[in-house]
Amino acid sequence: MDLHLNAAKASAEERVAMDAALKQLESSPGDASLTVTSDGQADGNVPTNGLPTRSKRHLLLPVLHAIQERVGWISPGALNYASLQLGVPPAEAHGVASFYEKFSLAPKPPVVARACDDIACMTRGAGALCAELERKLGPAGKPCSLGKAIWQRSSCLGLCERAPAALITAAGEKPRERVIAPAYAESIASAVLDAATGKLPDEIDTLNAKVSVPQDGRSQLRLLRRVGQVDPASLEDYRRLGGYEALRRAFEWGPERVIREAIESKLLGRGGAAFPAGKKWEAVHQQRESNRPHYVICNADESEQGTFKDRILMEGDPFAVLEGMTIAAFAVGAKRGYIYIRGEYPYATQRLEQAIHAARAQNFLGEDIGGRGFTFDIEIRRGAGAYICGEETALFNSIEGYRGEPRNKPPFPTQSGLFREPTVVNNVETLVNVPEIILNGGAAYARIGTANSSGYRLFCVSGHVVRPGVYELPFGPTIRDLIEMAGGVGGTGRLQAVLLGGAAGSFVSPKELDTPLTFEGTRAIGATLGSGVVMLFDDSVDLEQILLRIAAFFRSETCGQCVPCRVGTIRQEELLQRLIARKPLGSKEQESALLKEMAQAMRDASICGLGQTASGAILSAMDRWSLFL
Amino acid sequence: MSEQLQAPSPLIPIPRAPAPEIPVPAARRDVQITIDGKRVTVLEGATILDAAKTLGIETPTLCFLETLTPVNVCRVCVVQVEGSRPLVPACSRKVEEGMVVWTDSERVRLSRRVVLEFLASSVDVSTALQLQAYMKRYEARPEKFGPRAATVVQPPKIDNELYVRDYSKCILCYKCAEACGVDAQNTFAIGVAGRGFHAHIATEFEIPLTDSACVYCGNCIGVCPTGALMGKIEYDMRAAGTWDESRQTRGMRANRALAGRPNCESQFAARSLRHAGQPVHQRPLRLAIHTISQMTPLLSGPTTCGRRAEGQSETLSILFPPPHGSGGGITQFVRLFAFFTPATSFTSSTSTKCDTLLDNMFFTSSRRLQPVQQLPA
Repeated sequence: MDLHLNAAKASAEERVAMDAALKQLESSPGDASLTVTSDGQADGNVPTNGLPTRSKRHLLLPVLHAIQERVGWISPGALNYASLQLGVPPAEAHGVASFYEKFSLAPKPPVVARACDDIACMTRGAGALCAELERKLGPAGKPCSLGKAIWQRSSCLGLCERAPAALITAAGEKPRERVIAPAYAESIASAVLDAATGKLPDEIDTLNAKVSVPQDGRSQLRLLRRVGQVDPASLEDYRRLGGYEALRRAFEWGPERVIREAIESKLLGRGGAAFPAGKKWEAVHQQRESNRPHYVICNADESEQGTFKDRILMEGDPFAVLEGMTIAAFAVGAKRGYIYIRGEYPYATQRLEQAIHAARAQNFLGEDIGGRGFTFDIEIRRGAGAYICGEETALFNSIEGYRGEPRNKPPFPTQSGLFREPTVVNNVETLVNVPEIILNGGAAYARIGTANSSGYRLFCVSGHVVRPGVYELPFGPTIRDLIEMAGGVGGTGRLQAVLLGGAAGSFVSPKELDTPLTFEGTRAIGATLGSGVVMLFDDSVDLEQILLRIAAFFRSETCGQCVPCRVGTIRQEELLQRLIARKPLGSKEQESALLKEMAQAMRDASICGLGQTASGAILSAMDRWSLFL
Repeated sequence: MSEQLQAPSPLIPIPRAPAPEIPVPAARRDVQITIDGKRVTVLEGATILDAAKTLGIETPTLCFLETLTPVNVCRVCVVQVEGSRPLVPACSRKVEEGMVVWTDSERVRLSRRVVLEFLASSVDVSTALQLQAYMKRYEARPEKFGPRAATVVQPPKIDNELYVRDYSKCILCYKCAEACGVDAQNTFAIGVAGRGFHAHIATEFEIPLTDSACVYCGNCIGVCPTGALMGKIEYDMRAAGTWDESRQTRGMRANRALAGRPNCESQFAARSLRHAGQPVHQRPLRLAIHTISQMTPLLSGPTTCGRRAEGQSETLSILFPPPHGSGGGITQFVRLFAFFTPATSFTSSTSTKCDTLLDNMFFTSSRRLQPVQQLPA
């Protein structure tokens, strides 16, 4: 392949930023010696020609981050330089950079304030906040604060328990990121001004875990028991409260027994798809003789509207995530793991970085862990604003330095995942359950909860509720029980609707509150637990506007690869706009029939879960309430 | 492997390095599946599309091409497979023993129709003949989304003398990006950029083709199923109203009528100029360009040449995509491999031989041509 670069040259600043990032990436224990292709291909060929350069493609995403963070946008010269360093054709690098919301390919002020106007924040005054920002800073998308800043509306930032939320990023020699939640127009405006004048302090103002986890009876909690109780930066604290005991036990048991216990525990994935975690492990473990590298990925790209549980686990108990991953890697025989974390989580990212550093220093990661001859290391990859990258195959492409477009399944990740090798992908919460299973045994874990939903589950309670936050329950209680735990309905106190499972989930009415929050219980009413979202809307909420926001979310987050989802999501939004304007094409019934037809085609013909569920919540609301009359 | 390397034919030079040992592939099993109630046996590794073809079932496809890696993004080939919740793309899904497939069920018809309606409501399909035929077959009514439905309408990109890129007509089938990339040309001048409804095919930062890595091979033009990518002559003739589609459907013979058009020389002149400032190893094979330019009067469609060094020999591959419109834009490539040793000089007699060979190829077989022809050095 000829690498044809155009004439644009990178500035010294851009080159320095990229060189530093590359140097750091290549010296990182998690990435050093990474060979993308297996040593022995099935056909006996060993590809070598040009591989040293081309094998760096998986560093494209972090290198793009480095430019964006330093300069505030990715210039043609910078892209050329990145292409040359990594051996990626510029047209492809451009395709990757333009895929992510956080990357700008046109000059942009260095300070960007993102104000969330998504559904959870809508219930907490996001509309008024954005209007106030417009008065203070001028219209969204236009430079403000001496031309050094810009503010824009954003999809869900995963801070729903302290809505409304905002995220400020400031590019520069020392890039800064600041979360403001709850956000007020004044606090955003003053932080923007501080950032624009270089006065935003360096330190990180940790979010108060007690606000995020308001649950009473903390001693009963398992998954959340350390959150807010320990110093998340201290490995000693973690070990004092039983940390890394499970890993020691796993080493004693050996991989086969770990997998057996995981299967016995009936642990279902907590990311939304609810696939048996132990079965995934078994499928990868069975290929241990194949001489192919195996990977373990922690899916921390939590971007579903209203979901924030994984963020709280990573911020409050990062070592538990590492321990869960290490046990998974030991079980399946993986030497390398990745944590793919959404780009809007600066604190969680920092916590995990610190934790990985500490774990390496004390030999809980690296070579010969605990003297058991087991080698495993973890690398963090930050997403850059793409909901779709939470889809596991899109996530692989994103890590590999390609556009985050989902792959067709089969083949499944356990056969052909990251770098086309056998890969286990587990959600953060799923992994935090793993030490519990190892310590108590799979059978004991399976007895917790109900017959088909075993163990503990985190619920992200937000919207019109008295004490929003993340709540841990053994499976079994109903929606009503959970709302009571969270102090009851907030706002007007009169509940109109509950969104279960996020944008890809469905709405339920107050009549359905006695539904148990279990996989089988929600399925029985045609709903889903999804990622554990329980978002409440009181009777002052205009549900039609909520539905329109959900439609806008899917329209802006579809990757655009397959036709049904790329066009279907925009047609769905247009249709809702017509209904809200009371200007249907033909009658309302005709529009409703058209929506159902589109929904069926999206559900049947889309490549991945995004398109397949893009109409679910909207149809569930239209089934339950007479809207658009 | 024998010590003495033997070329398969005295016309092909002996490779310098020992030839890699290619393992004998395991014998492929027969797989029996049921399509629309009919049993069919195909070899393991075949796709549902292949199996359906053996039964004479015609499956619509837009993003599929035999010579490209299936990307299964257009979703018009979806079929119903028992046991699978969503429909599956026939073009890429491999058959499995006992699979029960329905290719014309209510669900399949609905999805295919809606997908066609989605496309036709957002893209100008006026030159996408195959897509129009599918729309007729599935009774698609794209107007149902109203007159204000968002489209990808934009001015055509005319930044060079050879090709026009009219992305108002682009259904984002990925074929051109694949043909420009690893599936054929390995040039990577264009790729998919942006996201969602605004995803599109682009050079980096939308720079003009003349500044990009493009070598004007024409692969993208050959694979485009909608006419979004078109030779400038065809584009201009269409604009002038002198394009006669019926004259284009008679295969290569008809194209002879276009011989001697002034663009043939200028195509390659432009191409040589653009690479004048590059190091030799990055330049397209100059002599080959010269050679091809002499052959080009045979063809109206764009040609490709690629050069690959193998030991002391070089392989010149010339790819002739048929012009847009012949066979609906989805037809086989004709690939000609020529082997040259460094000593080979591109004399006029070489060109004559090429001419003669091509002449024979095109005029002895109008449809399926032998995929590989050897050219005497």
